[in-house]
Amino acid sequence: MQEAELRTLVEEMVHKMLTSNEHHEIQIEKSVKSTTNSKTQNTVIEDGCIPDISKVDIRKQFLVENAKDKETYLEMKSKTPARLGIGKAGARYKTETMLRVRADHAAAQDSVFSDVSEEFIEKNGFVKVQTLCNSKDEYITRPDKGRRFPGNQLEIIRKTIPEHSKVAIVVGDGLSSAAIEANAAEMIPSMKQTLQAHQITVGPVLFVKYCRVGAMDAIGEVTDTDVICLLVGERPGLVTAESMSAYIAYKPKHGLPEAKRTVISNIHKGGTPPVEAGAHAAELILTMLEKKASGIDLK
Amino acid sequence: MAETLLSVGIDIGTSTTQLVFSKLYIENVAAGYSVPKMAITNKEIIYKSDIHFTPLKSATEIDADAVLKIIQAEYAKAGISIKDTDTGAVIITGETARKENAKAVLEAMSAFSGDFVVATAGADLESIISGKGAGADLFSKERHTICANFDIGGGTTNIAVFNRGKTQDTACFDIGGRLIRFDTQRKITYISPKIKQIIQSEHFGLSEGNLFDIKEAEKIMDIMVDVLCQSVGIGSSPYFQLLMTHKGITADQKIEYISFSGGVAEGIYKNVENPYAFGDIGLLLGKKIKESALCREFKLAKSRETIRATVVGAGSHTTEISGSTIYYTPSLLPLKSLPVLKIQDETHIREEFCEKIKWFEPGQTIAISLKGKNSPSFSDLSKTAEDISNAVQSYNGPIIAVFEEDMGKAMGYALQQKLPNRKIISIDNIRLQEGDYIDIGNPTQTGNILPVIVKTLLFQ
Amino acid sequence: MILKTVLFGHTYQFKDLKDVLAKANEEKSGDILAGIAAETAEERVAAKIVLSQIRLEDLRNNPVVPYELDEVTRIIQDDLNEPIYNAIKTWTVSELREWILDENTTEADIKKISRGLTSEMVAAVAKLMSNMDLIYAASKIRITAHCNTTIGKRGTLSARLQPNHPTDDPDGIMASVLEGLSYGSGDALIGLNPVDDSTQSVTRILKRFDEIKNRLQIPTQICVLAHVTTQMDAIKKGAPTDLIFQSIAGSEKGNTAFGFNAQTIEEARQLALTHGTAEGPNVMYFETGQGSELSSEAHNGADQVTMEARCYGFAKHFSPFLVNTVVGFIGPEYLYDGRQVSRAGLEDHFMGKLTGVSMGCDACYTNHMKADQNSIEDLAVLLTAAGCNYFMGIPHGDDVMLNYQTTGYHETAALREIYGLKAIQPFHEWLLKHEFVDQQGRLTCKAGDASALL
Repeated sequence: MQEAELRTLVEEMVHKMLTSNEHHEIQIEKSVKSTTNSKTQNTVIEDGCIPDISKVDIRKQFLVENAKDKETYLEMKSKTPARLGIGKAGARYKTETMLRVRADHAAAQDSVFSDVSEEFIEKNGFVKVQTLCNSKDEYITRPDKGRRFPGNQLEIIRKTIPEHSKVAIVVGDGLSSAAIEANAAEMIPSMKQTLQAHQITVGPVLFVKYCRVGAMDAIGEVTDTDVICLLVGERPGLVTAESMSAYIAYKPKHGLPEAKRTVISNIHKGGTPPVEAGAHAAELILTMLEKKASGIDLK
Repeated sequence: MAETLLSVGIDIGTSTTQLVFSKLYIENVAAGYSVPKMAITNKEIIYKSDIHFTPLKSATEIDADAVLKIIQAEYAKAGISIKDTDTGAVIITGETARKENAKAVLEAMSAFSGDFVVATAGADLESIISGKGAGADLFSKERHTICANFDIGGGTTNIAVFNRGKTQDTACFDIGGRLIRFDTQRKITYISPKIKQIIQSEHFGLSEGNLFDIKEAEKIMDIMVDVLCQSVGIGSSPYFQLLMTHKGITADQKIEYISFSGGVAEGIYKNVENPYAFGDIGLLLGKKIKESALCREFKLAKSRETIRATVVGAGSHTTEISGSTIYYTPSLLPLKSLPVLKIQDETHIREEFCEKIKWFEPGQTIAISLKGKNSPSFSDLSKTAEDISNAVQSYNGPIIAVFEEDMGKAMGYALQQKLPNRKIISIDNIRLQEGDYIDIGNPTQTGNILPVIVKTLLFQ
Repeated sequence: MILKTVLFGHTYQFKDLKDVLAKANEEKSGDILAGIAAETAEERVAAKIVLSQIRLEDLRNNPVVPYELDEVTRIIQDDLNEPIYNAIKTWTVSELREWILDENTTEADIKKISRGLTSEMVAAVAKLMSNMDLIYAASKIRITAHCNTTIGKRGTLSARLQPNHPTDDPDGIMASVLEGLSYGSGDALIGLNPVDDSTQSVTRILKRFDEIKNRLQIPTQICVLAHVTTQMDAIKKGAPTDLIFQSIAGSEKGNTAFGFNAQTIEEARQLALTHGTAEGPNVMYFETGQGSELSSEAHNGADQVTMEARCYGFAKHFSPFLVNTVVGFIGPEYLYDGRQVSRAGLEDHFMGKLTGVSMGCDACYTNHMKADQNSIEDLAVLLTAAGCNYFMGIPHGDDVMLNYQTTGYHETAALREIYGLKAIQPFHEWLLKHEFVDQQGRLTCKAGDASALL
């Protein structure tokens, strides 16, 4: 909803920006000819659509006017995702880059403050549980509550993951619902395929709403699973709002030091592709089962 | 933290034979907790051999056994055993690179071949390798400019143009320092066939068996210099086509700097006391080039290596590494000189594979090369695996799949599921063309990546 | 010391001074998370009323972390000038507030009294100030410091050029450096937050910074913000650095969690003075931020404003060239939204200056906070009015390594223009030489072209 509204707004602004000069001329021309007292003219709503500004490859965009050496500049710019070569309007930003930053920030915020859709959870056959948090706002401000479950939810967890399982896969919304919807359904089958090649089958996948990383400890506590792999949405940046992490730990329990988790971050189409990350994560899980350790203990 | 590969480079040229050992440092360049992304981050030359004259049986035939002895002696001197090397390249260059010579040398060196990867260069690759060995690529990158390197050896001149660190174009000419040779009494012992042709049509007073006349030689060297000038857009020569090996530089490149490597470069960068010392026209030609329009019209860049540029390039700049998430069956490695079957239309893999497999000898192990998809979905992955497994039904060798996009490991497992009884290698981050050959080395210490050499075979 | 008041007929009794300090804070999600915030708006005001009548000596005698247990407390207390303290110890916090704001109180007066204040006093007076009070009081005070150039003079506004890169690629980093310079950013510092905290990587980047600084003869400072021990190791192995950086906390336990203590910092400072590349004498760079003590459970039950003030007390001991509060980085658990970030930024800036350190601010926010670019632009405008020494400068305000947003190259340039300020003088002259700014320090049409510096 919010995203759609913002997109419409952006489109309108871009449109105004692109067409304002033209309209001015027409308006002046008409007003000279006009014999009525009216100061406004009827506006024609044209067909057409402002192009999607999020599709502009900003790595190749170059807006510096009269640059001394554009080719070298682009070469330098290609070495970093930083927003270089953006030019200026006085000491402020050009409209195009300003709107793009706002658009990217809007995508980031929406991915934090929206929920993973029920449809997605159902389609993938995930079993849904919820932490102690009752709202996004509580989730954002109370990290302690996002790590624990009420008793009735723990019951569902126990029923879903058989006690002493070898491997369990858990999906949590974390700080980006968009990341989960973009990657989880691609990564999980690849992970299962690799585990299957080593004769390990994985049971139903849990989905945790309002999930902090520590929620996997609570799940480990009640199921005594050997290895839990939690796929969770990362705090979004402006480069992408769809980046997912996998936190994998051997026999996680409450109080597990952070260093004992193995983390794979930056899973998204512009980083590590989810299918490739799935095969990689599965091999890590196999190593953990063999070495009975995870995180720094694995090195 | 850094892993290392020990790489050997061997250059058997028209006039000299050399060897270097270099260490390639491989480090993880991925951010924080990302999946590792290994890259070659540093190259260090740890041993340079003496420069030996290439032993010849006759004016045109290499003495392969003598070459082998030189190389064995240099290994011993460096204190490196054949087993220690992980990768590398043998490059047979210039006039020497004739089929019978190359074959003889490769046979003589078969003792080495089980332990490291043997490769040979084509004229294009040779230009690039010598240019990189001379440091022209780095120079162009650091100065944000375009630099052309002329590697002028005994028999050929290899030109590579680098634009801000990237290879932009290559060319090769039959111009070199040993195309006319003479003995200590300055009696001419050899003139190359193409040079003879020019001498005849211009009626210059130079012929084998007669005394070397410097005035006449200067005329032929002027022609050589004119051709080199024309190659980068200065003036023209009626012999341009004749001396071109197979291609010149195509587009207008706006070259700003030039650099020189190869034996002749010694005569360009240094003041030579006795230009006749090596019994050939190399140092004389160098002096001619130094005084020519080439050095006036362009800025001169200093090479990092002159006579050793090719061997340094062969030792340090031929090896690539695979992506860091891949799938392989260790018993298949190493693999040498696999011909590449390139799938152009990835929507019809089976049809294209079945058509192209006929080009290869039955029983030949081939590498199947695909671009792949940027971040494929799991169903994309399964579909491609299905297509490949259907395609290889009538092919009995191991499955060697090489992708450009990052999907090697997941694809390996997908293929294994479809083809449980086949041996499989599935690697990525490697770009191949139709007609290429590749070598795949043993895994590095941590076992996560494979060294790869992509080459275009010389003997066509 | 009275810990009780009646407000609107309701009696408010506070447990101890720490409780008063916590409840007198403007609302912060971090204090709520810690379970120490006022329960109601009226209770908050009641706490402020009680605090206004507390005497400075009570604040000195009741540090929020005991002297015996904590070296940060010891440093703050031992550094106090006793005669100055004795002259003001019977003042109430209310009296201190009005004295600072008084039209007859000069900058020199405040700087003198500052030497008799502990961090608890500094925090207490900030809690009795409105946002405009914080700006008005801070604008009276300028703290200068000298490394290679002098930061903090009136009429100047500086920027730290922060050329962060997701993989520390030196070429990518240098691209951001050149562009930042062309916008007039980097007079405070060219300083990278590295991904790779290894000596080798830190050395590699410092050498590139040193090379560009010398080749283009840029009058500024360089630094790589790795862990203090990594930087020390790099210097010992010959890496060129002007400043040594460390993130600091307001308690010994917090600093231990960061992996250092006061002795480490003193050794680092001596090393920078004897083996660094700077003129000095100010060779340290510290970063702070409300909430960091709570996040490492090192707050000892105290509120985040008081703990933050103690960071400045600790920092002052080492005569830093730069201190900055990374005010919105920590997340909504500690500072909920743009409003709380703004308040914290103004508090931190005022407290740093009253303590006597050269203050800058990383006016920033993360994407899970209810804030946007407007929030931090507002804060930067307010802080410039308050006389802040410097801000961060990042391409379009988007940090592609730390994944948060802060002020861009354009922001400092615009603020200079709005307020008639310039970069540090020698740097301003350097910009003039390259024609990136005019005599008044305003950007020219050549600004923003990194290729002009190739």
